Amino acid sequence: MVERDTLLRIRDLTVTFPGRDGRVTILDNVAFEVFGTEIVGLVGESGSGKTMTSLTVMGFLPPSGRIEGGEIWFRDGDLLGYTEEQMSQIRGQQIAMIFQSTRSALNPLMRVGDQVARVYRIQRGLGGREAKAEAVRALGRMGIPDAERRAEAYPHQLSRGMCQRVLIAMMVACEPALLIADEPTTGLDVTIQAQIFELIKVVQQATKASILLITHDLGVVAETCERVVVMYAGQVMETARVDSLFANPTHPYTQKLLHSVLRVDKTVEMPKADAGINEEVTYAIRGCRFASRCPRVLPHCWSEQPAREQVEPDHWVRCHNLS
Amino acid sequence: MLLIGLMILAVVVLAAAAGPHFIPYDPLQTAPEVKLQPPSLDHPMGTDNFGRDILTRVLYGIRLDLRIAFMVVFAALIVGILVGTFSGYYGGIVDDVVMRITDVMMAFPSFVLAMAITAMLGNTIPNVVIAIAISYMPYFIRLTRGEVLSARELGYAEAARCVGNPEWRIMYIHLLPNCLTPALVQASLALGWAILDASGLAFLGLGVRPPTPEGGVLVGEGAKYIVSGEWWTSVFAGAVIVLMVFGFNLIGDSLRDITAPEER
Repeated sequence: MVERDTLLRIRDLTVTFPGRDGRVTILDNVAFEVFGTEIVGLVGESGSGKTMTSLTVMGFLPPSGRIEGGEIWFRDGDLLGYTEEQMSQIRGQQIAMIFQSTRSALNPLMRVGDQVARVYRIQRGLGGREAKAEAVRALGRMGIPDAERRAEAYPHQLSRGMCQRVLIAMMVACEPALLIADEPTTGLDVTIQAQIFELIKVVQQATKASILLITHDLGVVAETCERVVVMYAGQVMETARVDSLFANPTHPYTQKLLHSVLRVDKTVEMPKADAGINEEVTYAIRGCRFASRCPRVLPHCWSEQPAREQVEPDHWVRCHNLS
Repeated sequence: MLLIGLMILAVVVLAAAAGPHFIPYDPLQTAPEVKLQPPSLDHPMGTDNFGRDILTRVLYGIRLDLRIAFMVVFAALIVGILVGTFSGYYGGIVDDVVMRITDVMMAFPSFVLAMAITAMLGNTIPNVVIAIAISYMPYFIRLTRGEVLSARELGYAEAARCVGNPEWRIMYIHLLPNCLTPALVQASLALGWAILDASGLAFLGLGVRPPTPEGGVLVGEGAKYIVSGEWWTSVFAGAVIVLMVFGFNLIGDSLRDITAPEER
């Protein structure tokens, strides 16, 4: 395994939000890395803290949220220690994010070409005409046919897939080192989804960026990513290279997750509809949050948090009962 | 509805703009020999106690009332949307302070607030405009703030932040234009109210002062002659005020129905 430079290193990140009976811990000692020039998948069910993790990295934590501890190292600075001004220097230049809600992420009253051009003006100080020309070229690179004409369109005149391409063009305009893509294909149909993932891969290769891809689709992870981070109820359960995760899933949650993927060539036992994450879990458990659903639960799982253990090179798991 | 409102105002504006050019009288020139004449061919709306032609005074009054109304709404709208956007975008303490100030202002009926302000500043035309504009500002602030509050959660504001747009651009270039509709609808309604409030202040002697021709001044001057049978001194001016307010209300209401059908 070649040692690579770490681009993003999140350590023991804990975030709480006010709940009915005191503060609820939404992110509990989250820790993982993103290395240079790789695509990392962040998977987990709804409410597991995937989006909250990325918002915290961007400095977009909603005002009611509070960072209780931890560090987010990007290159050689802790983002949590940066002022808002320093963060706005980082955003767009070095870290960018593609949002879930495709269409509302574009200003409905501005031509899409102008929205992309604005990024070039802000980040590279280009003049109006140069920026516009650059924007049209960027839209073309994103696979938008007839980019010159489309640049003059308003978001409502474009399809969702097209809007997503515009958004990607906007976000990679200044070749950020890290691109966070939060379920970039929600609400798109399957063929367009495939095209968008293809585009993300192409963009990644062209710009040598690292991408943190948030999804709940393990198929996408298998095809697109090099490494995976599995989250459950605000805790990172397992991080591994894609091949070793699929070949050797170690955490009981990951095993259940992989087991639930439907396959054409095999009869799969349909996943039981589990209770899922509920508020009581996040209040009551000091230990492993998967304990209430875990088939291999041990008594001390409820009270002690398992440590992050390495089971094979670059494959980390948090579980008391590794068998 | 919209069409009827526009037609009413078109007639009123046209009359006020063109009318004085065809009429030989001066709105301020007194002529004691023809005082308190009932409507006739020479004086279609009669004359007042100084022998001034009432039609002429009404036409000049419309000009002044419209001018006051537009200045009031323009000032209230500009300040309202700028402050409202700021307050809604930053939230927190800034928002709390702004909201409490608007609460205090809205606790007074806007007409009473305007009366208090003109009484304090003195009743010149600019002061009347300032007073009424201040009493309308809280409505524009609140409307815009509410829109910004919900629009801030939409992706484009965050996406704009994400690519490094400065805060003022996000507020005033991205959010504000998208949050303008309710304030503009409110503005068309407020034009009608402003005419009513300006005339009301003048009628009470707290606004535009006689002999300047203005709707409220005319009604006020004529009021004392109604009892003695010279009804034309007040009625025509009052009817024109009603017509203008009605026109603006029709436009405002139908704009609201068009832009926000759910609030009907």
